[in-house]
Amino acid sequence: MTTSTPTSPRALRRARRRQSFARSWAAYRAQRTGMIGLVLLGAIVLLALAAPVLVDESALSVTQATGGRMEPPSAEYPLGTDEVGRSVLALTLWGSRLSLLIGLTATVVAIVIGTAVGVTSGHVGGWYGWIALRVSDWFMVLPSLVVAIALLAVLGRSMATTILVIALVSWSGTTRLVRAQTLTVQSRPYLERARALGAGHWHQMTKHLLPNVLPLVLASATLLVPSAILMESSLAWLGLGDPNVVSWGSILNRASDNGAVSAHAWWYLLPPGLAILLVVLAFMMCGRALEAVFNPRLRGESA
Amino acid sequence: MNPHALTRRLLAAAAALLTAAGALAVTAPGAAAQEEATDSLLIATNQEVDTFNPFKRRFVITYNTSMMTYETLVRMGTDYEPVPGLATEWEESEDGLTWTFTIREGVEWSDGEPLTAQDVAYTYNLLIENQAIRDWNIDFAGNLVSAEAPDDTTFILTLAQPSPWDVLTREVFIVPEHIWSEFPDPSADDANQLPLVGSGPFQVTEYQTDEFIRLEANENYWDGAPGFDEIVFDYYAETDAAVAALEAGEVDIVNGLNPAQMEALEGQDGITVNNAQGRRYVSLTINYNSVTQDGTAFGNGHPALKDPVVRQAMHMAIDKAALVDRVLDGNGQPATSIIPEIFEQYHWDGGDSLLEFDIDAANALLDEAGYVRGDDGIRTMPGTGERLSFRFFQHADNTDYATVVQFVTEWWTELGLEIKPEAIEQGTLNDMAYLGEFDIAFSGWGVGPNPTEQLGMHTCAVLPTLTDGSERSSENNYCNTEFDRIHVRQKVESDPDARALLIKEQQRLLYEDTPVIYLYYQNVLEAYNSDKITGMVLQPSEGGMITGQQGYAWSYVTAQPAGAADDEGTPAWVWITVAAAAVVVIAGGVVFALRRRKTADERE
Amino acid sequence: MTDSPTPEGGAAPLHDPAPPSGRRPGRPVSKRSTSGFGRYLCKHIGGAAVSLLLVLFSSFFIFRLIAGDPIDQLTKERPVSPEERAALRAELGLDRPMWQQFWDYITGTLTMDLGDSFQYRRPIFDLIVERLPATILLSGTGMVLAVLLGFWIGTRSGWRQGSRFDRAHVGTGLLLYSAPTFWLGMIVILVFARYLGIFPVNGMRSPNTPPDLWSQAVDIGHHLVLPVLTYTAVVYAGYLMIMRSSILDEIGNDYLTTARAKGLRDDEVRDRHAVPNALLPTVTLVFLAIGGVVNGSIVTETVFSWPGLGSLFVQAIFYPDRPVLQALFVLFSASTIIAVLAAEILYWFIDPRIRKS
Repeated sequence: MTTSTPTSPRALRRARRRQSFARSWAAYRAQRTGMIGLVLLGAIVLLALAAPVLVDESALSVTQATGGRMEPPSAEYPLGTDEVGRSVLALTLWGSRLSLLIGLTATVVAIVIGTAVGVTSGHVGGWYGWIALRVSDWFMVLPSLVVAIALLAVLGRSMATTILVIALVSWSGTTRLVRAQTLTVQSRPYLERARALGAGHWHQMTKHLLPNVLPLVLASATLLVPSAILMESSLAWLGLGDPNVVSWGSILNRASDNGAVSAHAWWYLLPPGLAILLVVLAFMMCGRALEAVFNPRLRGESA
Repeated sequence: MNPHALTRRLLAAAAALLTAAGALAVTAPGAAAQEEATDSLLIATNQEVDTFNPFKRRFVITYNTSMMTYETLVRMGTDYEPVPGLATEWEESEDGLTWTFTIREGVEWSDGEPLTAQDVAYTYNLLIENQAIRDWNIDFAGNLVSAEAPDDTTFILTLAQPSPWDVLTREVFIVPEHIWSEFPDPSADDANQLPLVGSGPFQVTEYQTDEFIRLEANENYWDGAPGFDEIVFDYYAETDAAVAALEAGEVDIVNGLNPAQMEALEGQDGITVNNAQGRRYVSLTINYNSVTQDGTAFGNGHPALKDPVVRQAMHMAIDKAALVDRVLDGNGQPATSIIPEIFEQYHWDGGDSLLEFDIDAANALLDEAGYVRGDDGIRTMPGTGERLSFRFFQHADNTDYATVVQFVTEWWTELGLEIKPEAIEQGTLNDMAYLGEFDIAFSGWGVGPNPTEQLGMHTCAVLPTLTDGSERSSENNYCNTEFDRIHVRQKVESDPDARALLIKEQQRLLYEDTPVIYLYYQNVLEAYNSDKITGMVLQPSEGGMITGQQGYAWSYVTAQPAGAADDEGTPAWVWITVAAAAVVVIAGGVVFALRRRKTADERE
Repeated sequence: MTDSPTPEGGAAPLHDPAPPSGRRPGRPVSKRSTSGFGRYLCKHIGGAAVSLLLVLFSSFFIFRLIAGDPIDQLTKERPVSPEERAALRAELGLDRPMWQQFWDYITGTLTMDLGDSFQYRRPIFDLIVERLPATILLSGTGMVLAVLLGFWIGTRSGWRQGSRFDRAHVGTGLLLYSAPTFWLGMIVILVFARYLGIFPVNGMRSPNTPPDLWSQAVDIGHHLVLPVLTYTAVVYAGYLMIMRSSILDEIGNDYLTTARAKGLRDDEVRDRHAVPNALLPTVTLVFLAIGGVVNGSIVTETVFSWPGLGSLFVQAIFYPDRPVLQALFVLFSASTIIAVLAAEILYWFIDPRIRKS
């Protein structure tokens, strides 16, 4: 905040933003798959939020479970039971909360790191920029699942470490994207003008660079969430998650450890897996649509 | 061209291809599987080999191969009683320090050389004189003074302290001197090269990492040649695959089943399921007393756990029968103390001291002792007012434990305790446990027929001298002088019944002091191809196990081929289906491509 | 790279973030060099060397942070005397000072002497040599199939953007891409191995297959079907989307109109003119894929208990087998780093813009 901004330019800017948002939304709405994805996603998020209302938390209690061991679907248990007699439907419903939470949080963390490093390294440059670029390049070439597994083994398993580890292997892509965009914006005339007028680094970054890279970042974030969810489920299934929480990956881990495949217990395997598939698909549909909005080259496809 | 005509033509071509592929497939696996002259007993395993050196092996798989390749002086009987092996008889001197064994005559090594008392003396002398081997077996070897063979059939062993049960149950596998004396370093992991030379019923001849271990039958075995010509341990990384292989007749014995796999196998033709009592207990260790030998306290266990009343209340609030029922699907027994029910003579049933599952009574106990509930429902300590909030560590890779944790946490929460379950790596858990930085932690051990080792982990003598967690001989730093006194007596008591009484008394003390809550003894779930194998002797002989036998491989030696037809592997129709699927996919692709080309042409 | 879609793109980036600088998909970000090939080469080799060195160093320290005494693992389920512990410790070289262990590790890794595995008690080099073929067989076959399938469909999808073919294939690809690999694997096992019983549940070989080459090959082929199917199903969509957008990039170009004007049929225009140009930007991708073959299928190998490097890694994590983890971490990372380097070098020859500047 180096210059005092009178109300009218700010209002103007706000109006311009509103306008551009409306334009983007119209472009998004024109894409059928994007809208389907959005509706699907909305439904899933709603279900996850409403889980405590729909199914009481006591359904997760092992001492109060009433079903038999791996019972096939019945009127009482529409999706059968797990190995201690809990309803798989209830588990899947509750599992959505953690899976989504981990996916979203990890993405936010990754994006914050990625954007911060990207904008600063692009803007500041010099030694710092070089080192930041090298580090993010390094993370980029490392095989992410290998690193994630190794880090989880070292840091121990809990929700927090899972989130941290997923964020750590995901941030570099955002950095690269943001850095490239920063460099482009940087060379535009109005930024030179701003510099000439004495705008500080902070002002340039927050007022000019960040607003310009954010839409792109958000679009790429939509595609980071599904990969974070997939990675969480893979890690949990490998047995690197916290076994004391209910997420889709941990449900599947228990299922395979307890011989659901041998017992032909398809009702135990299908629901959590399909849930992951649907969420990932919904996010991808939204992400692709968003990408098309911000990248006209792709616009018009899948309409 | 009419696309339908094209499709028809392609289908005809596909049919021709399919016939050819089918014919190929039928001839392929069938032709090779013809000469099945040797009777092989195929056992599924997933454990890698650490070393074939019988003095240094640590893993179960090499315990099994050593037990079959070599032999001991005294065998472990089918009911864990000492029976003659390479020694036909033995005698303990009055003072218990000198043992005289009569070595069986006419026994040959698998290479045809005679086995004499000289070989026995050589083997025992390795334990005494070879520093590395001695260190490796120090708990037993440290008590040996000398081993001599005055003639070919007499072997005399001298001890520093009387220790009858160690002498009778310790598996010292007798190795051939004429071979071993040539080894540059008998203590090396790769000292003995394959094929192994031993005197047992089967000798290891071949090993391929992650593929198989082959043991060939000893045709000249003094106790009669075994029924099968060879035993092959086949590697199946996952039990699921082993189960499928058993169903397909590709493997004969599978162990380590979980209840779901067990259920899937039960009632299948030609497969017999064996649900045997196991040798393992699962327990919860309570950090009530982290002190060193000189009484220095260390770690950060919750002070309330020092109160026996709290431990007793926690013990009462665990429904062990429900755990067995729900977690193990009934395949186990609620535990009282260290020694599982499979060792009938030493197992202690709890008697009058047995606590019943009663959460109300447990709550009453805590109320009486002054642990009042705070506003949040969590009890606090009388005096200091510290909340009863306990860390509860479990092994992160065991989903059964995760379920147990959930059960126990729910019960203990009803007691007004705050439980914080945490799944951590095995290594970290051990570190924390030996540093005393925990409140409650999972533990579990397999128990051998001679319980001295397990009981010895609870004596004052093995308390750590340092507080850095580097000395790991004591289970939970239990120290009770009365327990120790009885322990010394049971070690030298030659009369089995008198010894059993002493051991039960030790377990009673452990139960009442509650340094550890023993949860359950887990059954061993195994299955075998009963169309192919008959006559396997179990250990214990009634309701015992096949794969986890101790001291002698009764089951594998007594197994006889039942003479049923061997499975030929993959049936031909499988290959036809595969080939058909491939052809259909390819044909479909071609049809599709051609049709695309056609429409593209039209669009031009 | 990994089985799950990796945000950084990796072997099969489903979406190309397409920065407005106009860079094409799959192209490595490389600042244009101001002088010739030599300088370009030095810069990239230097970068890769620094990355490799970092991997080498970090591998040693990361896995040393895994808590627990390795001795406990080796003596699991059995009370051990302090003497025995000390003997084992000496045997594994754990009693030596850290700097010496580090020095041994560095010199050992550089001379291909990777030490002994804790769990197998054998040289790790041998272990890797034994398991590498299995991994290459699985991910190599899967990768080749995925690339071919993805490129074939992607070309046709992009060429007829918005057609029923396009929508059906993009939809199917996305659906399979969204499935967690391990779950798809379990379902495939459940259906094909458990219910239908026409394929083995897992593993690479049935024990007791006759030793002749033909029977062994048939047996391995039989085991290979389900894992390859799973692997290909999950990754092919990535190649499909890349090829599709690459074709879309070419579609409006003048040279295609010229070709058509010459009277070429539509598919001839596509296959002879559009495809070769569209393939250029995907070359990097193929190189990355080759690098990813080594560690390409950790999850697939684990679901199917395929005896490759990926399942060895997971097994080593749970043991934990520190020397194996160290070696595999270096190997996995090095293979991607070197593949990226190769792609970058290749790019010099493919993309004239890099040379021009």
